[in-house]
Amino acid sequence: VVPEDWWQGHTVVMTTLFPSVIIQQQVNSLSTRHIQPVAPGVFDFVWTHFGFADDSPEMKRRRLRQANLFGPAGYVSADDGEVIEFAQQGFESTPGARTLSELDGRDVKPTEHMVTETLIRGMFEYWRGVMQK
Amino acid sequence: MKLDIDTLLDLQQMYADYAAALDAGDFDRWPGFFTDPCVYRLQSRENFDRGLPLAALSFESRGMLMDRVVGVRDTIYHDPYYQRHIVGAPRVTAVDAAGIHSEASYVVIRTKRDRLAEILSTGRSIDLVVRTEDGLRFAERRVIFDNDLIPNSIIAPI
Repeated sequence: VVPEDWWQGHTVVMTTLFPSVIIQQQVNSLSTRHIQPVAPGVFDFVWTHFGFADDSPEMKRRRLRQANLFGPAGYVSADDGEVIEFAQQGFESTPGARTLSELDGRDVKPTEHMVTETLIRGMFEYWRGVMQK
Repeated sequence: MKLDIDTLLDLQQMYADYAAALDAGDFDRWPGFFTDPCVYRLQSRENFDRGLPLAALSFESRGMLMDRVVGVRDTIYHDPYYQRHIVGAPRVTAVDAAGIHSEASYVVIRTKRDRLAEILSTGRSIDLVVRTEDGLRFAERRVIFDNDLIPNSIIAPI
């Protein structure tokens, strides 16, 4: 990992553009993840990696090496997709039921820890507000 | 340059052994099919055809291959599956000072317990094979998959 000036200090950034794009900087790897809904229970997950036009050959190679971490076979992201599929199988196993994510309550609030599902509740609260307008 | 029949038989045997090792889940054997350093790349045909460098997996040494084996076995949490390689006869495209250039079409079928079998990946490998003291080894193996849409994830090597 080589720090880059534009980070202004060590950073890990995953910015969500509501509702379906994530822009991420993790180490020297830069990418977007785009969720493209296809049908109920089905979405395409499109990865796009990028660099800068003035990247040195070394930086380009570094970004490509670190791309092993991400994507459908990536060391830190392949299991994300696997776990989401497990969750979907769980939801679908009882079609008449509802699934609640109750870790750290049912409300949406800022927290100082990660033992919480407030982020996904917040996303769907906002989603509901937008869709019901 | 033409390949002698013994070398061609060795080449076919190596492709068969490679597929058998992976299908048996015998991943510890996987790095041994390569030279060190080596090239192993798992890349979409979309990127390959356009000359784009991004690959789903891109390794440069036996050490990186061994790291993947640890990932498959211990760190990448996933729904377990069997895989089955159907590999076409290797097509030798050239033999030169660098080694044997060959390609083989493949289909990898993924089967999870209690589920129907499905095609995980299909495409071709574009390979450079060299003779070492220990026999034929991949100096380069570029697995180019046709199905840009991957059924969720690829954990084990192809």
